[in-house]
Amino acid sequence: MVFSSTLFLFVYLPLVLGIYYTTPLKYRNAVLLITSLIFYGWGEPVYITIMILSTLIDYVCGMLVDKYRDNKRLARRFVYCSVAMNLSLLGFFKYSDFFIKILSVIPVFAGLKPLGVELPIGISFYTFQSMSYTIDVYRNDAPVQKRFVPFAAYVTVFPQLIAGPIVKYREIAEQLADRKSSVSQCAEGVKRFIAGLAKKVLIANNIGRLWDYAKELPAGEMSVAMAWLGITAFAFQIYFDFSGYSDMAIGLGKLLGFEFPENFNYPYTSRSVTEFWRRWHISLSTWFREYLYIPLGGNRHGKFKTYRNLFIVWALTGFWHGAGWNFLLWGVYFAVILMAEKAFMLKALDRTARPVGHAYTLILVWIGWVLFALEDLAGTGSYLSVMLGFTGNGFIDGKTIYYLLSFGPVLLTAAIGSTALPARICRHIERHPGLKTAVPVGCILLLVLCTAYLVDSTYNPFLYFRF
Amino acid sequence: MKGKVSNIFEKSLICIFSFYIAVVATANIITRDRRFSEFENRYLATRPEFSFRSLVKGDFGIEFENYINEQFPLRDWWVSLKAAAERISGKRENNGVYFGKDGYLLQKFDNVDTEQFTKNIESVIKFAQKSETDIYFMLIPSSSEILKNKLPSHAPHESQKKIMDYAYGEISGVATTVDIYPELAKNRENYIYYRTDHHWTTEGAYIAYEQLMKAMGLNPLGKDEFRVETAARDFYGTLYSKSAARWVKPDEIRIYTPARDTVFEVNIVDAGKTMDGLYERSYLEKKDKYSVFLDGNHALAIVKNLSLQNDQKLLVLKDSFAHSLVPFVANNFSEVHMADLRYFKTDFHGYCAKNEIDTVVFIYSVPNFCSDNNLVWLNAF
Repeated sequence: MVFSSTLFLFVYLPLVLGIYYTTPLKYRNAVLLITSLIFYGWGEPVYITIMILSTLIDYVCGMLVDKYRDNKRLARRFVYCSVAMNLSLLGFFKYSDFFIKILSVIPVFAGLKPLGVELPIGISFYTFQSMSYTIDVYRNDAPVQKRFVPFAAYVTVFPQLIAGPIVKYREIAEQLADRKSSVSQCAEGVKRFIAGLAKKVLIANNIGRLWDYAKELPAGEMSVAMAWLGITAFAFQIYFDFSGYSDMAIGLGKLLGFEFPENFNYPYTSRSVTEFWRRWHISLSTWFREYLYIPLGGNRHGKFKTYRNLFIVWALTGFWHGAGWNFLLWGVYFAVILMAEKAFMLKALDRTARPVGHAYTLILVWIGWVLFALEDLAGTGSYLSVMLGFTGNGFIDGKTIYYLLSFGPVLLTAAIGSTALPARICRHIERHPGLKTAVPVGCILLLVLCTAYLVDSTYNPFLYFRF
Repeated sequence: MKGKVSNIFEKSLICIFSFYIAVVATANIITRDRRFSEFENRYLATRPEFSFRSLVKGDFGIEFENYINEQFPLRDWWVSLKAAAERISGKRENNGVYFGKDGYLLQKFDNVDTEQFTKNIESVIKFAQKSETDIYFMLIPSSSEILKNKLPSHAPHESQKKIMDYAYGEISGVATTVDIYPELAKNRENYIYYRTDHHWTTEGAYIAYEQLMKAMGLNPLGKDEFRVETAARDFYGTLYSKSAARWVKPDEIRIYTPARDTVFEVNIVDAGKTMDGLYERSYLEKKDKYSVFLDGNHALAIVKNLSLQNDQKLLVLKDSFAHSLVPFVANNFSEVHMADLRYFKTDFHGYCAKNEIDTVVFIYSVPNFCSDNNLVWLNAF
């Protein structure tokens, strides 16, 4: 199930909130666990077992680590066990076909066929999440959880289950044991949820159609402006989609009495790629930082090792996004840029005017999105060469003008929405006694509009229009 | 004091949110399911049957989600709200329909399935080569071609002229091609396409009738030999449904009846129904008014002109554009057999021999001819 569906909004959510708030406090984790499993299993019930498996592994490993705390070597073994098992789950379901395809190039393995296993939703998120718990227990960063239900509720809790933020156990350990929701927390949650829903439904889904169109255009029929327009649409689509989803997760968390960590901080306003990655998918970058970069030695062992570590972390960050060469390339691309920035670019950028830094960052990130969005590398090459003007394609044509005009207002809204401006205006309105009513009114209007877009989204005429 | 005020606002926000969700959820439960949407002119998903197997496979979950969406309370209203929002936000199309100038809605046609298109041409050629009857072939450009000037500025569209010229070039060796493009283009200022439907009007079909008769060496009835009647003034067609563009004006449906007394009998073979006339007027009271012409889509309909004993028999292989054309053609043939390849698959050579049919005509709109995947059945027997 996804948040941005009528099923979630008007069937699942009212039921869950109703049951949750009429249940006594001490049973609420159990309610969360059961309802989250239904949420997760809605489209593919079989894969609930994998999630439960991952949860069980870390529940047991966490307890064993705690039990043998005094025996470092033994305790460490249980950490390895958790990491190995989680990574094998992830590896099998997400990456096996990728490696099989590579292996089958070698004559001996030519007979290997891709397994075609379907990716369990959210596996990249929940395996990372439950792994972090065992590691934290080992490091004494998190208390051990001896009861299964609260721990399982932590891994499966539906708001962040499918697309993050990746919540570390220690961040919500106390809330799992004891949480009361206050009126202002709930109100914040409602606002946050509606904002996220609007970002996803009104902007991401909408502008996504422009990218869908652009990526299908043969390279020969694409003007330079269309290439830029298309990838701009994708850049906004992925940002509003992902950050909208995080907003909805954080908002729903608040409605249930949780405070989840922030995941995005206006990444497109960054002045360097380094800054961009501090603002984009924060819970993932900090995860890699804490559980990979620093254990590898971080930047404390000389220049060579620092750069090597950066490279490993970013290549894997890219690979985490999907089992494809393009994702690996995307990660390496950023690794190289981040190394260059660390070496000298950041200093140079500091000395230039602000707009230069912004333009530099956006152009590099935009080119990165081409690598990310197009899965076959030949397509990436031809798209990039149109974008950079290496082909003889014209700068602009009728189609481009049509789509620019059609999507202009949405693009503009997206551009403004990527900055802190709307939030600032919102806060200003809330402080103003005369304008205050605008907030609930605005929220309900957005909600109505989102409903309309959700209802029409399945509009898929098949019976009559082909005649 | 300040804390209290903000608390009221926070509470009201929570209340509004809960109220909204609760009301819609309740409405979802109490509204009765509709099988068919008049507004969208299609069948809606109904409650999926529950079984343990479909639950485990995940099908139940997906179907149930679809069901909730399609049976959403006041669905038509939401769909229209979205269309209006799209228009206000600068969009010039919704669900693949352009918001054209002068209140015209036009089906977007900017992408040709070349593979299917060439396959269809081959099917027609192969059929014609084997046939012992005269074969005629007519393509009908859709409104987005002839009424290009009504498209939103710079709107992408594929040239249907090019497609027609290519198809005619390929087919003209084995069949007589009937090019109605120039005449339609000449009449583009007249009301030859509906504004809210993807079909042509009776006027448009009349132009094609004249051209077809000329090509066959027959005399078309003159316009003055028909009584014209405006049968409906509130026709909202498929493009209206698809785009939910509530702001456009409705179309008129005109019906032409020969001034001279002519008796027609229509036998709808697959429905086992006989009509004494070319028009099923009950449709004029419904949403799907275009079906007034020969009762809409059927596998096989046989139109008999009882006032004409010339023993000329015609087979029409067609899409729904032909429905408003055949009533004209029926004035020149004692029998017109109208077959829809989607529902009626048979050996048409044998069919012609059995029914003593001496002429076959293909009548397809360009978009349908480019995408239809049933022409291959022509040579399957």
